[in-house]
Amino acid sequence: MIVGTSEIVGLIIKAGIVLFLALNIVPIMVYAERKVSAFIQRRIGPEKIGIYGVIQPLADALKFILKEAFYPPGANKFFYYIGPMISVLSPLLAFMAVPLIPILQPIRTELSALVVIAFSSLGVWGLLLGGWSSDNKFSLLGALRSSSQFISYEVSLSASILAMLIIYGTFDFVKIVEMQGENIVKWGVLLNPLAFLTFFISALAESGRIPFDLPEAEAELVGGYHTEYSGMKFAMFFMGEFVHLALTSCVMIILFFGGWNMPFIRISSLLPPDYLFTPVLEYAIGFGVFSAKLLLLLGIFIFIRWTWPRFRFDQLIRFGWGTLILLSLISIVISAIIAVL
Amino acid sequence: MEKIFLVSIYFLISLVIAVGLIFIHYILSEKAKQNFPDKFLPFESGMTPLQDVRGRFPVKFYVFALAFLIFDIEIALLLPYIPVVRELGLIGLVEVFIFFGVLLLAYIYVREIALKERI
Repeated sequence: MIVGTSEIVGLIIKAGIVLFLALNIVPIMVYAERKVSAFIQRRIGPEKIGIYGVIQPLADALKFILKEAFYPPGANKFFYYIGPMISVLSPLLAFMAVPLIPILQPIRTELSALVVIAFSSLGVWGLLLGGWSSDNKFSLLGALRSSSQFISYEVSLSASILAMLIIYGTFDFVKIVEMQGENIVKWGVLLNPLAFLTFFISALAESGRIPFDLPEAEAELVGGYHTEYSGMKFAMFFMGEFVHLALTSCVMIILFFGGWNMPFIRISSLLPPDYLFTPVLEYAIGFGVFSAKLLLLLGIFIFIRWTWPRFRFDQLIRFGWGTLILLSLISIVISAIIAVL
Repeated sequence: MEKIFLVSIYFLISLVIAVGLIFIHYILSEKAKQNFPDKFLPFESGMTPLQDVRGRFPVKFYVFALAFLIFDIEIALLLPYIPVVRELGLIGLVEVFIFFGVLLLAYIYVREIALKERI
Protein backbone atom coordinates (compact mmCIF):
# COMPACT_ATOMS: atom_id res chain seq x y z
CA MET A 1 0.00 0.00 0.00
CA ILE A 2 1.55 3.29 -1.07
CA VAL A 3 -0.96 5.60 0.60
CA GLY A 4 -2.32 5.41 4.12
CA THR A 5 -5.99 4.56 4.66
CA SER A 6 -6.60 7.87 6.44
CA GLU A 7 -5.51 9.81 3.35
CA ILE A 8 -7.84 7.82 1.11
CA VAL A 9 -10.78 8.27 3.50
CA GLY A 10 -9.98 11.98 3.76
CA LEU A 11 -9.85 12.30 -0.02
CA ILE A 12 -13.17 10.48 -0.44
CA ILE A 13 -14.85 12.73 2.14
CA LYS A 14 -13.41 15.92 0.59
CA ALA A 15 -14.19 14.78 -2.94
CA GLY A 16 -17.72 13.89 -1.87
CA ILE A 17 -18.31 17.32 -0.35
CA VAL A 18 -16.76 19.24 -3.26
CA LEU A 19 -18.54 17.23 -5.96
CA PHE A 20 -21.83 17.49 -4.05
CA LEU A 21 -21.47 21.28 -3.85
CA ALA A 22 -20.38 21.54 -7.49
CA LEU A 23 -23.31 19.51 -8.75
CA ASN A 24 -25.78 21.35 -6.52
CA ILE A 25 -24.86 24.60 -8.22
CA VAL A 26 -26.91 23.28 -11.17
CA PRO A 27 -30.43 23.21 -9.61
CA ILE A 28 -29.71 26.46 -7.76
CA MET A 29 -28.66 28.13 -11.00
CA VAL A 30 -31.59 26.72 -12.97
CA TYR A 31 -34.07 27.98 -10.38
CA ALA A 32 -32.34 31.36 -9.96
CA GLU A 33 -32.09 31.86 -13.70
CA ARG A 34 -35.79 31.19 -14.24
CA LYS A 35 -36.83 33.38 -11.33
CA VAL A 36 -34.52 36.27 -12.27
CA SER A 37 -35.54 36.12 -15.92
CA ALA A 38 -39.17 36.24 -14.81
CA PHE A 39 -38.39 39.20 -12.56
CA ILE A 40 -36.64 41.07 -15.39
CA GLN A 41 -39.40 40.37 -17.90
CA ARG A 42 -42.14 41.12 -15.31
CA ARG A 43 -43.47 37.58 -15.27
CA ILE A 44 -44.05 35.36 -12.24
CA GLY A 45 -41.82 32.45 -13.16
CA PRO A 46 -42.08 28.92 -11.71
CA GLU A 47 -44.47 28.92 -8.75
CA LYS A 48 -46.66 25.83 -8.90
CA ILE A 49 -44.35 23.11 -7.57
CA GLY A 50 -43.46 23.72 -3.93
CA ILE A 51 -43.38 27.11 -2.23
CA TYR A 52 -42.46 29.71 -4.87
CA GLY A 53 -41.58 26.84 -7.19
CA VAL A 54 -38.42 25.80 -5.35
CA ILE A 55 -38.83 22.12 -6.24
CA GLN A 56 -39.07 22.95 -9.95
CA PRO A 57 -35.42 21.90 -10.74
CA LEU A 58 -36.05 18.54 -9.07
CA ALA A 59 -39.13 18.00 -11.22
CA ASP A 60 -37.06 18.96 -14.28
CA ALA A 61 -34.43 16.40 -13.36
CA LEU A 62 -37.07 13.70 -12.90
CA LYS A 63 -38.51 14.49 -16.30
CA PHE A 64 -35.06 14.39 -17.90
CA ILE A 65 -34.48 10.94 -16.40
CA LEU A 66 -37.81 9.51 -17.54
CA LYS A 67 -37.58 10.73 -21.16
CA GLU A 68 -37.38 8.19 -23.97
CA ALA A 69 -33.80 6.93 -24.50
CA PHE A 70 -33.49 8.05 -28.10
CA TYR A 71 -30.35 8.04 -30.14
CA PRO A 72 -30.06 8.70 -33.89
CA PRO A 73 -29.44 5.46 -35.81
CA GLY A 74 -26.74 7.01 -38.00
CA ALA A 75 -24.80 8.22 -34.99
CA ASN A 76 -21.43 6.94 -33.93
CA LYS A 77 -22.74 5.43 -30.71
CA PHE A 78 -19.52 5.47 -28.67
CA PHE A 79 -18.72 9.14 -29.29
CA TYR A 80 -22.39 10.06 -29.05
CA TYR A 81 -22.50 8.81 -25.47
CA ILE A 82 -19.01 9.96 -24.51
CA GLY A 83 -19.61 13.59 -25.57
CA PRO A 84 -21.94 14.64 -22.71
CA MET A 85 -19.87 12.56 -20.29
CA ILE A 86 -16.71 14.52 -21.11
CA SER A 87 -18.53 17.82 -20.85
CA VAL A 88 -19.68 16.98 -17.30
CA LEU A 89 -16.41 15.32 -16.34
CA SER A 90 -14.01 18.10 -17.29
CA PRO A 91 -15.23 20.81 -14.84
CA LEU A 92 -15.77 18.20 -12.11
CA LEU A 93 -12.17 17.05 -12.52
CA ALA A 94 -10.95 20.63 -12.48
CA PHE A 95 -12.59 21.04 -9.05
CA MET A 96 -10.00 18.62 -7.64
CA ALA A 97 -7.53 21.49 -7.15
CA VAL A 98 -9.90 24.33 -6.24
CA PRO A 99 -9.64 25.25 -2.56
CA LEU A 100 -13.00 26.55 -1.34
CA ILE A 101 -11.27 26.70 2.05
CA PRO A 102 -7.75 25.31 2.62
CA ILE A 103 -8.93 22.00 4.07
CA LEU A 104 -11.51 21.46 1.32
CA GLN A 105 -9.01 21.05 -1.50
CA PRO A 106 -9.36 17.36 -2.47
CA ILE A 107 -5.84 17.01 -3.90
CA ARG A 108 -3.29 19.22 -2.15
CA THR A 109 -0.89 20.31 -4.87
CA GLU A 110 1.48 23.19 -5.59
CA LEU A 111 0.36 23.31 -9.22
CA SER A 112 -3.37 23.79 -8.67
CA ALA A 113 -3.65 26.59 -11.26
CA LEU A 114 -2.19 24.34 -13.95
CA VAL A 115 -4.52 21.48 -13.03
CA VAL A 116 -7.54 23.78 -13.31
CA ILE A 117 -6.46 25.23 -16.68
CA ALA A 118 -5.71 21.76 -18.06
CA PHE A 119 -8.93 20.05 -17.04
CA SER A 120 -11.33 22.91 -17.69
CA SER A 121 -10.15 23.24 -21.30
CA LEU A 122 -10.96 19.57 -21.95
CA GLY A 123 -14.64 20.46 -22.16
CA VAL A 124 -14.31 21.44 -25.82
CA TRP A 125 -13.77 17.76 -26.68
CA GLY A 126 -17.20 16.88 -25.32
CA LEU A 127 -19.15 19.20 -27.54
CA LEU A 128 -16.93 18.61 -30.57
CA LEU A 129 -17.33 14.82 -30.32
CA GLY A 130 -21.04 15.15 -29.53
CA GLY A 131 -21.70 17.40 -32.49
CA TRP A 132 -19.58 15.40 -34.89
CA SER A 133 -20.95 12.00 -33.96
CA SER A 134 -24.67 12.75 -33.98
CA ASP A 135 -25.08 12.54 -37.76
CA ASN A 136 -26.70 15.91 -38.30
CA LYS A 137 -25.42 18.85 -40.33
CA PHE A 138 -26.70 21.44 -37.85
CA SER A 139 -24.93 19.63 -35.02
CA LEU A 140 -21.67 19.50 -36.93
CA LEU A 141 -21.80 23.19 -37.85
CA GLY A 142 -22.78 24.14 -34.31
CA ALA A 143 -19.95 22.08 -32.87
CA LEU A 144 -17.41 23.68 -35.21
CA ARG A 145 -18.67 27.15 -34.39
CA SER A 146 -18.66 26.58 -30.65
CA SER A 147 -15.28 24.93 -30.57
CA SER A 148 -13.70 27.74 -32.59
CA GLN A 149 -15.28 30.21 -30.16
CA PHE A 150 -14.04 28.30 -27.13
CA ILE A 151 -10.48 27.88 -28.33
CA SER A 152 -10.32 31.53 -29.42
CA TYR A 153 -11.33 32.79 -25.99
CA GLU A 154 -9.30 30.19 -24.14
CA VAL A 155 -6.12 31.99 -25.22
CA SER A 156 -7.13 35.21 -23.49
CA LEU A 157 -8.53 33.32 -20.48
CA SER A 158 -5.29 31.47 -19.81
CA ALA A 159 -3.26 34.59 -20.62
CA SER A 160 -5.07 36.58 -17.95
CA ILE A 161 -4.72 33.73 -15.43
CA LEU A 162 -1.01 33.74 -16.31
CA ALA A 163 -0.83 37.49 -15.71
CA MET A 164 -2.15 37.04 -12.17
CA LEU A 165 0.17 34.09 -11.50
CA ILE A 166 3.15 36.25 -12.53
CA ILE A 167 2.14 38.87 -9.97
CA TYR A 168 1.84 36.31 -7.17
CA GLY A 169 4.85 34.30 -8.33
CA THR A 170 3.28 30.91 -7.53
CA PHE A 171 0.87 28.32 -8.97
CA ASP A 172 -0.58 27.46 -5.59
CA PHE A 173 -4.15 28.71 -5.06
CA VAL A 174 -3.93 28.45 -1.26
CA LYS A 175 -0.76 30.57 -1.21
CA ILE A 176 -2.32 33.05 -3.62
CA VAL A 177 -5.30 33.61 -1.32
CA GLU A 178 -3.07 33.88 1.74
CA MET A 179 -0.93 36.48 -0.05
CA GLN A 180 -3.99 38.61 -0.78
CA GLY A 181 -5.09 38.68 2.86
CA GLU A 182 -7.90 40.80 4.24
CA ASN A 183 -6.37 44.05 2.98
CA ILE A 184 -8.46 44.98 -0.06
CA VAL A 185 -5.58 46.90 -1.70
CA LYS A 186 -3.69 43.63 -2.20
CA TRP A 187 -6.57 41.89 -3.98
CA GLY A 188 -5.95 40.91 -7.56
CA VAL A 189 -8.72 43.06 -8.96
CA LEU A 190 -6.91 46.19 -7.79
CA LEU A 191 -3.41 44.92 -8.61
CA ASN A 192 -4.19 44.36 -12.27
CA PRO A 193 -7.66 45.56 -13.34
CA LEU A 194 -6.92 44.92 -17.00
CA ALA A 195 -6.35 41.21 -16.33
CA PHE A 196 -9.62 41.10 -14.41
CA LEU A 197 -11.47 42.70 -17.33
CA THR A 198 -10.10 40.24 -19.89
CA PHE A 199 -10.65 37.31 -17.52
CA PHE A 200 -14.27 38.29 -16.88
CA ILE A 201 -15.11 38.70 -20.57
CA SER A 202 -13.41 35.49 -21.62
CA ALA A 203 -15.01 33.64 -18.72
CA LEU A 204 -18.39 34.70 -20.09
CA ALA A 205 -17.40 33.42 -23.53
CA GLU A 206 -15.82 30.22 -22.23
CA SER A 207 -18.96 29.15 -20.42
CA GLY A 208 -21.20 30.17 -23.32
CA ARG A 209 -23.12 32.87 -21.50
CA ILE A 210 -25.22 35.43 -23.24
CA PRO A 211 -23.24 38.04 -25.06
CA PHE A 212 -21.33 35.07 -26.45
CA ASP A 213 -23.90 32.27 -26.38
CA LEU A 214 -23.45 31.31 -30.03
CA PRO A 215 -23.24 27.57 -29.23
CA GLU A 216 -26.95 27.58 -28.50
CA ALA A 217 -28.12 30.46 -30.66
CA GLU A 218 -31.54 28.90 -31.11
CA ALA A 219 -32.79 31.53 -33.55
CA GLU A 220 -29.91 30.99 -36.01
CA LEU A 221 -28.92 27.35 -35.63
CA VAL A 222 -31.53 24.75 -34.84
CA GLY A 223 -29.94 24.13 -31.48
CA GLY A 224 -26.21 23.97 -31.94
CA TYR A 225 -24.15 20.92 -31.11
CA HIS A 226 -26.88 19.31 -29.00
CA THR A 227 -29.61 19.23 -31.66
CA GLU A 228 -29.86 15.43 -31.62
CA TYR A 229 -29.60 15.05 -27.86
CA SER A 230 -32.55 14.51 -25.57
CA GLY A 231 -33.31 13.49 -22.01
CA MET A 232 -30.48 13.15 -19.54
CA LYS A 233 -27.79 13.37 -22.25
CA PHE A 234 -29.10 16.84 -23.17
CA ALA A 235 -29.24 17.83 -19.52
CA MET A 236 -25.64 16.74 -19.03
CA PHE A 237 -24.42 19.35 -21.50
CA PHE A 238 -26.23 21.97 -19.44
CA MET A 239 -24.90 20.58 -16.19
CA GLY A 240 -21.42 20.79 -17.64
CA GLU A 241 -22.04 24.40 -18.64
CA PHE A 242 -23.29 25.45 -15.20
CA VAL A 243 -20.55 23.59 -13.33
CA HIS A 244 -18.02 25.21 -15.65
CA LEU A 245 -19.52 28.60 -14.83
CA ALA A 246 -19.22 27.84 -11.11
CA LEU A 247 -15.62 26.74 -11.66
CA THR A 248 -14.60 29.92 -13.46
CA SER A 249 -16.36 31.96 -10.75
CA CYS A 250 -14.38 30.09 -8.07
CA VAL A 251 -11.12 30.74 -9.95
CA MET A 252 -12.11 34.39 -10.32
CA ILE A 253 -12.76 34.71 -6.58
CA ILE A 254 -9.45 33.04 -5.75
CA LEU A 255 -7.37 35.09 -8.19
CA PHE A 256 -9.07 38.47 -7.93
CA PHE A 257 -11.31 38.71 -4.86
CA GLY A 258 -9.28 37.28 -2.02
CA GLY A 259 -10.83 33.82 -1.76
CA TRP A 260 -12.12 33.07 1.74
CA ASN A 261 -10.79 36.34 3.21
CA MET A 262 -13.33 38.77 4.55
CA PRO A 263 -12.67 42.31 3.28
CA PHE A 264 -11.05 44.63 5.90
CA ILE A 265 -11.52 42.22 8.83
CA ARG A 266 -9.21 39.31 9.66
CA ILE A 267 -11.46 36.37 10.51
CA SER A 268 -9.23 35.07 13.33
CA SER A 269 -9.43 38.47 15.07
CA LEU A 270 -13.18 38.00 15.49
CA LEU A 271 -12.83 34.77 17.46
CA PRO A 272 -11.47 34.12 20.99
CA PRO A 273 -7.95 32.68 20.52
CA ASP A 274 -8.01 29.80 23.05
CA TYR A 275 -11.51 28.48 22.46
CA LEU A 276 -11.75 24.81 21.48
CA PHE A 277 -13.76 25.29 18.29
CA THR A 278 -11.91 28.37 17.00
CA PRO A 279 -10.29 26.65 13.97
CA VAL A 280 -13.61 25.06 12.98
CA LEU A 281 -15.41 28.39 13.29
CA GLU A 282 -12.68 30.10 11.29
CA TYR A 283 -13.11 27.61 8.45
CA ALA A 284 -16.89 27.88 8.66
CA ILE A 285 -16.82 31.68 8.40
CA GLY A 286 -14.30 31.47 5.57
CA PHE A 287 -16.56 29.06 3.72
CA GLY A 288 -19.52 31.37 4.27
CA VAL A 289 -17.56 34.32 2.88
CA PHE A 290 -16.50 32.28 -0.16
CA SER A 291 -20.08 31.14 -0.85
CA ALA A 292 -21.39 34.68 -0.48
CA LYS A 293 -18.88 35.92 -3.05
CA LEU A 294 -19.71 32.99 -5.34
CA LEU A 295 -23.46 33.60 -5.18
CA LEU A 296 -22.90 37.33 -5.82
CA LEU A 297 -20.81 36.57 -8.92
CA LEU A 298 -23.31 34.02 -10.24
CA GLY A 299 -26.07 36.59 -9.71
CA ILE A 300 -24.09 39.09 -11.78
CA PHE A 301 -23.74 36.45 -14.51
CA ILE A 302 -27.49 35.85 -14.53
CA PHE A 303 -28.26 39.58 -14.70
CA ILE A 304 -25.83 39.98 -17.61
CA ARG A 305 -27.51 37.10 -19.37
CA TRP A 306 -30.94 38.70 -19.28
CA THR A 307 -29.73 42.22 -20.09
CA TRP A 308 -27.50 41.91 -23.12
CA PRO A 309 -28.20 40.97 -26.75
CA ARG A 310 -26.11 38.37 -28.57
CA PHE A 311 -23.07 39.06 -30.75
CA ARG A 312 -22.82 37.92 -34.35
CA PHE A 313 -20.22 35.26 -35.11
CA ASP A 314 -17.90 37.57 -37.07
CA GLN A 315 -18.14 40.22 -34.32
CA LEU A 316 -17.29 37.55 -31.77
CA ILE A 317 -14.21 36.35 -33.61
CA ARG A 318 -13.04 39.87 -34.44
CA PHE A 319 -13.45 40.94 -30.83
CA GLY A 320 -11.67 37.84 -29.57
CA TRP A 321 -8.67 37.88 -31.87
CA GLY A 322 -8.47 41.61 -32.48
CA THR A 323 -9.04 43.12 -29.06
CA LEU A 324 -9.19 40.65 -26.23
CA ILE A 325 -6.02 38.66 -26.93
CA LEU A 326 -4.03 41.87 -27.42
CA LEU A 327 -5.37 43.26 -24.12
CA SER A 328 -4.56 40.07 -22.23
CA LEU A 329 -1.02 39.99 -23.63
CA ILE A 330 -0.59 43.62 -22.54
CA SER A 331 -1.85 42.64 -19.09
CA ILE A 332 0.89 39.97 -18.88
CA VAL A 333 3.52 42.65 -19.57
CA ILE A 334 1.94 44.96 -16.96
CA SER A 335 2.01 42.14 -14.41
CA ALA A 336 5.67 41.42 -15.11
CA ILE A 337 6.47 45.11 -14.57
CA ILE A 338 4.44 45.20 -11.33
CA ALA A 339 6.06 42.00 -10.04
CA VAL A 340 9.61 43.12 -10.74
CA LEU A 341 9.33 46.70 -9.52
CA MET B 1 3.56 8.63 -6.83
CA GLU B 2 0.89 8.68 -4.13
CA LYS B 3 -0.50 11.86 -5.72
CA ILE B 4 -1.26 9.92 -8.89
CA PHE B 5 -3.02 7.25 -6.82
CA LEU B 6 -5.17 9.89 -5.10
CA VAL B 7 -5.90 11.63 -8.41
CA SER B 8 -7.03 8.35 -9.94
CA ILE B 9 -9.39 7.76 -6.99
CA TYR B 10 -10.86 11.23 -7.56
CA PHE B 11 -11.09 10.52 -11.30
CA LEU B 12 -12.96 7.27 -10.58
CA ILE B 13 -15.46 9.04 -8.30
CA SER B 14 -16.30 11.67 -10.90
CA LEU B 15 -16.37 9.06 -13.68
CA VAL B 16 -18.94 7.12 -11.63
CA ILE B 17 -21.07 10.29 -11.46
CA ALA B 18 -20.82 10.94 -15.21
CA VAL B 19 -21.48 7.33 -16.27
CA GLY B 20 -24.10 6.91 -13.55
CA LEU B 21 -26.22 9.76 -14.91
CA ILE B 22 -26.41 8.11 -18.34
CA PHE B 23 -26.92 4.69 -16.75
CA ILE B 24 -29.85 5.88 -14.59
CA HIS B 25 -31.39 7.44 -17.68
CA TYR B 26 -30.88 4.20 -19.60
CA ILE B 27 -32.44 2.06 -16.86
CA LEU B 28 -35.44 4.19 -15.91
CA SER B 29 -36.53 5.57 -19.27
CA GLU B 30 -38.70 3.78 -21.79
CA LYS B 31 -37.04 2.34 -24.88
CA ALA B 32 -37.20 4.37 -28.08
CA LYS B 33 -39.79 2.93 -30.45
CA GLN B 34 -40.63 3.94 -33.99
CA ASN B 35 -44.17 5.21 -33.57
CA PHE B 36 -43.80 7.82 -36.34
CA PRO B 37 -42.35 7.04 -39.80
CA ASP B 38 -39.66 9.76 -39.87
CA LYS B 39 -38.78 9.72 -36.20
CA PHE B 40 -35.29 8.30 -36.62
CA LEU B 41 -34.21 10.62 -39.44
CA PRO B 42 -31.70 13.32 -38.56
CA PHE B 43 -33.42 16.65 -37.92
CA GLU B 44 -32.88 18.93 -40.89
CA SER B 45 -35.88 21.26 -40.85
CA GLY B 46 -38.07 18.68 -42.55
CA MET B 47 -35.80 17.95 -45.52
CA THR B 48 -34.78 14.40 -46.28
CA PRO B 49 -30.97 14.24 -45.88
CA LEU B 50 -29.23 13.92 -49.24
CA GLN B 51 -25.60 13.21 -48.47
CA ASP B 52 -23.32 12.03 -45.72
CA VAL B 53 -22.82 14.55 -42.91
CA ARG B 54 -19.14 13.97 -42.31
CA GLY B 55 -18.01 15.24 -45.70
CA ARG B 56 -16.31 18.56 -46.26
CA PHE B 57 -16.67 21.58 -44.04
CA PRO B 58 -15.24 25.12 -44.23
CA VAL B 59 -11.48 25.16 -43.74
CA LYS B 60 -11.56 28.46 -41.81
CA PHE B 61 -12.21 26.60 -38.59
CA TYR B 62 -8.93 24.76 -39.11
CA VAL B 63 -7.09 28.10 -39.36
CA PHE B 64 -8.50 29.09 -35.96
CA ALA B 65 -7.16 25.88 -34.50
CA LEU B 66 -3.69 26.56 -35.93
CA ALA B 67 -3.66 30.15 -34.62
CA PHE B 68 -4.85 28.90 -31.24
CA LEU B 69 -1.95 26.45 -31.15
CA ILE B 70 0.65 29.22 -31.54
CA PHE B 71 -0.73 31.30 -28.69
CA ASP B 72 -1.34 28.35 -26.41
CA ILE B 73 2.27 27.23 -26.82
CA GLU B 74 3.34 30.80 -26.06
CA ILE B 75 1.40 30.63 -22.78
CA ALA B 76 2.98 27.28 -21.98
CA LEU B 77 6.44 28.76 -22.68
CA LEU B 78 5.82 31.56 -20.18
CA LEU B 79 4.84 29.15 -17.37
CA PRO B 80 8.44 28.47 -16.16
CA TYR B 81 8.87 32.22 -15.68
CA ILE B 82 6.28 32.33 -12.89
CA PRO B 83 8.25 30.83 -9.95
CA VAL B 84 11.38 32.88 -10.71
CA VAL B 85 9.86 36.31 -11.47
CA ARG B 86 11.41 38.03 -8.45
CA GLU B 87 14.77 36.21 -8.63
CA LEU B 88 15.40 37.18 -12.23
CA GLY B 89 14.36 40.78 -11.70
CA LEU B 90 15.19 43.24 -14.42
CA ILE B 91 16.91 40.72 -16.73
CA GLY B 92 13.77 38.58 -16.74
CA LEU B 93 11.68 41.64 -17.52
CA VAL B 94 13.90 42.49 -20.52
CA GLU B 95 13.60 38.91 -21.75
CA VAL B 96 9.81 39.04 -21.40
CA PHE B 97 9.85 42.19 -23.54
CA ILE B 98 11.97 40.47 -26.21
CA PHE B 99 9.65 37.44 -26.10
CA PHE B 100 6.61 39.64 -26.54
CA GLY B 101 8.34 41.57 -29.33
CA VAL B 102 8.71 38.35 -31.29
CA LEU B 103 5.20 37.30 -30.36
CA LEU B 104 3.83 40.63 -31.55
CA LEU B 105 5.07 39.81 -35.07
CA ALA B 106 3.19 36.51 -34.94
CA TYR B 107 0.12 38.29 -33.60
CA ILE B 108 0.21 40.89 -36.39
CA TYR B 109 0.62 38.10 -38.94
CA VAL B 110 -2.35 36.16 -37.53
CA ARG B 111 -4.55 39.22 -37.28
CA GLU B 112 -3.71 41.02 -40.51
CA ILE B 113 -2.92 38.15 -42.90
CA ALA B 114 -4.03 34.72 -41.71
CA LEU B 115 -7.42 35.68 -40.30
CA LYS B 116 -7.87 38.89 -42.31
CA GLU B 117 -10.62 37.81 -44.69
CA ARG B 118 -11.98 35.17 -42.32
CA ILE B 119 -12.98 37.42 -39.44
